[in-house]
Amino acid sequence: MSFLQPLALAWLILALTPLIIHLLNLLRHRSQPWAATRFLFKARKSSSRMSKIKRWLTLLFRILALTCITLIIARPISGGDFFLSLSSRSPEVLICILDRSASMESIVELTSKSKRENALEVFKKFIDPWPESKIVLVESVYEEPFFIPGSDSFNDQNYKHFINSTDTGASLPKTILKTLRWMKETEIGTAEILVASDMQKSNWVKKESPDQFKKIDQILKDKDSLWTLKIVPFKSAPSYNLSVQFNNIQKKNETLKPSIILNRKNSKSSSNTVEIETQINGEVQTHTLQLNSNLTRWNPDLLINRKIEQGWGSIQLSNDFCNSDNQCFFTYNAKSIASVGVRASNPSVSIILRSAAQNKEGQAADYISLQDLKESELINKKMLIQQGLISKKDAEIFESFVKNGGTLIAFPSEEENSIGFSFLNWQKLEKKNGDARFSIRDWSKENSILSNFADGSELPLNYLSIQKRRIPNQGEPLAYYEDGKAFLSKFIYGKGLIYAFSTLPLDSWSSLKDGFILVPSIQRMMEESSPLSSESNSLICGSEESKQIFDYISIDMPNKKRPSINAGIYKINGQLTSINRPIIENESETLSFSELNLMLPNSPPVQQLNASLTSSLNRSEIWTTFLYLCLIFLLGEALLGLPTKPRPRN
Amino acid sequence: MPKRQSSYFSYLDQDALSQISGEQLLSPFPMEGTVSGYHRSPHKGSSVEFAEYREYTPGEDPKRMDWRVFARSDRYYLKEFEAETNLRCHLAIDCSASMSFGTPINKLEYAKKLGATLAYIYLCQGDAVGLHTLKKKKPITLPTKRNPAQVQEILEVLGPLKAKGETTLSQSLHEIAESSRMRGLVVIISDFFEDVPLITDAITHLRDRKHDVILFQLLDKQELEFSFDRPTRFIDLEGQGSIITEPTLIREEYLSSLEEHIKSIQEHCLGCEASYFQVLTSQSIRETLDGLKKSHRGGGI
Repeated sequence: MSFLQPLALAWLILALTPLIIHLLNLLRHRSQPWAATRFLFKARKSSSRMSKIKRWLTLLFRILALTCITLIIARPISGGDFFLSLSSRSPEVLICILDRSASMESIVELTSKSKRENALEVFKKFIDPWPESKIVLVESVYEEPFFIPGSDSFNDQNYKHFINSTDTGASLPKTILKTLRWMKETEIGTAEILVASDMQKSNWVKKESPDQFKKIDQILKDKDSLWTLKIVPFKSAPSYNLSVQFNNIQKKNETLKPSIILNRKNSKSSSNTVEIETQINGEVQTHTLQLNSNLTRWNPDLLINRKIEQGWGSIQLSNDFCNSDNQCFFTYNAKSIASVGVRASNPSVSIILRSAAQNKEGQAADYISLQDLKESELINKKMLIQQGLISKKDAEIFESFVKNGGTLIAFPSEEENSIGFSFLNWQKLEKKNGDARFSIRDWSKENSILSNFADGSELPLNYLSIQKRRIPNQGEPLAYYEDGKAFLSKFIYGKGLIYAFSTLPLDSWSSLKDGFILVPSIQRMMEESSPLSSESNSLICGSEESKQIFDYISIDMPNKKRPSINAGIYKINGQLTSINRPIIENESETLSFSELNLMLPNSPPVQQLNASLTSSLNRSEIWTTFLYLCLIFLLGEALLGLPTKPRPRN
Repeated sequence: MPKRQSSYFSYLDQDALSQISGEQLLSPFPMEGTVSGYHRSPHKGSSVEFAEYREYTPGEDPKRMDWRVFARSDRYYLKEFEAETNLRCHLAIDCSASMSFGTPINKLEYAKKLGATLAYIYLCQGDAVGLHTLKKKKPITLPTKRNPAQVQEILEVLGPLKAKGETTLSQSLHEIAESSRMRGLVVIISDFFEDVPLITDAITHLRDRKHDVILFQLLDKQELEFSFDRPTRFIDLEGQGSIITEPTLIREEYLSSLEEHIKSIQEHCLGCEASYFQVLTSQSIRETLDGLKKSHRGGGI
């Protein structure tokens, strides 16, 4: 038990008032000359034990009643570490970690609310008894801790984006570790961390989880109970659930043949008829399907409009106890996303190159910061344009990118002594003085990015005027200077492709800035990099790639969805992309607490709280208990104080 | 006419005297007096009340021989009549410090009033009245006299009396019993706050001496009700120390103890044919004497 107003406990001294009054009364007695003293002596001598007990009980009841009143004012809270803690025992911060994975949308029976909604209720109950603590919400999609003003925030529209349902998966160890690291950085003293999760094993145990658990264990151990980890598990499985999963798609003329897997769980009957709604490019069709087993593969023939080259479709089941797995999306004839990132140390070069690498919608290529390069920045990129200085670490990331199938377009640095890549470097700067210029003599006019236009006309490479150049040492030249050195070279590295230019699109270097060579060549490089992707564009909702998508148009529900949290059809960089929930969200295996505690052997055991019982959170105001106790004590005192019946005179 | 005007005449309760005037307070027991009076005598006398026939014994006065019986039976019989005499009333007033308690007047003052009024009544009906002030230091004893001036003597003694010192009630009563050779009436006015066995021994002693004993136990209403509600230091008036206590806590025990004490005295009085009257200092002398009058009118307790 602890107190919300511990300072009020100072008034406990008042509980001694009856005793003090009693002693004062004894001291401030009145004197009475008395004749029949012999009977008083006799009476006191033989004063019954009961009278003494009565007197002390009366005093005790008065003291206890006052104690109760003081405790009521101090607002006692059940639970806590100490019975009478003179500190507030309010943790500095309350951390609410919400598992927002798709499986949390299962309806908890008898509540008609999803597990996620129940989790929010639990958070409210968790927060309310600690009004002095700061509240931090962390959810499993963005994993970014942020402060919220109070439990009312869960009803606030501004926070809906962070607490609403998603079609994502989750990595709870990662989220918890990220939160603990943030807490460490923020130097939080005491904290209660409450994780609300359905304990789906796939969200807790991943390839990288052991390492994460090890780190969590170490941090919690170091904090020595200052940070306590509690978990509210929502393990109840829905009494009936039918989920749908997109497998693959085949297209023949005007017919689409998607392969759909229907998975039925906890069904009492062996046969069941389900209604399925399909949507092709917005046109709805309804199908009736007889399910004869729990796992059914369905391959419907869906007619498509021949005029629509690229299209999309969705499969929708009727509502059941878990609606998040009732829908899946697919696309057909869609080309992959080839998003381009530009990283240039010269700002002018950066602007020029981003413009040159704009997509079909006219959007400039993404800007990549010159700060330390992160792998996450390259997740959705198929092509990178690099110019200027580069650190060793950044060079390694670029190398990894290319090896894995990316396309790199490299421009030389203005600095002569720059490091460059391990797989690509340039010769020393060559410069023409006065009106003298380097010129292009020859280039590959067929089957290359410098090939002639469709009408047979040549790229005007011979019009390029180059004042400065740094010749790339590697690669097969695609264009030559008049002295036979490479203007542009190309080579394959790992699974990827590298183009190396010898000059910069700057007035002081060349006329490449004018664009008549730069734009068509970069656009052709972009097109060339596209076939590396699969035919059908599909992403996993909540994956790192989906989180990096900022320019998108929601197709199936315009303006209502985000690729990072909602499954659906999106137009990203002009390409149709289907985003589906992770398949692992269909798994029903859960992680037990013993398993969890085994993974955290050194830290204090993770406390398991019962979501259905408020008291199990061990933090609820219990002043009413003391009010009743106070009334009982006062009643007892009143009964003991009832005057005895005066004796009738003989 | 009194020899001199006493300033203590106020102790005579006029109201009680007017109520009781013309009626005699008679002792239920035969009294040995020196002169004729209203009380039965253990001896045969010359009153009009026939007592018995008794066979004549030679040497007796032949004047009382019933000649008519002799004429009929040729035997000598004496016809005897009851003798009526006065009594000797010993007023014993407890002057211990405990008698200084009471409201509206303290017990001693009440005792003075009661004693003076009784002395007057008995003197008026021709009885001899004496006074014993029961105290440790310088007790005063007025021998019984039937002189009307005795009232004044008694008042002069009672007037300046002060209640102080420890009680000597039982001891004094024993002394009265020893010193009074002739049977008489002993009126004891006290609060009887002494050990019951001592009191009962003294009463028995008096009764053994054929005295008619009347006990007036003077109590105050506070002593009987004990209605104190806050811690109080009770100081013993006879110097036996003090006690600080919560009255409500010991009230039951106190009242029970007091009741037991009173009951013991009452029962003893009943057993030895002594008259017992419990008197509150708040009640009038008239009321007190009414009670006495009822039990002492024409004999019988």
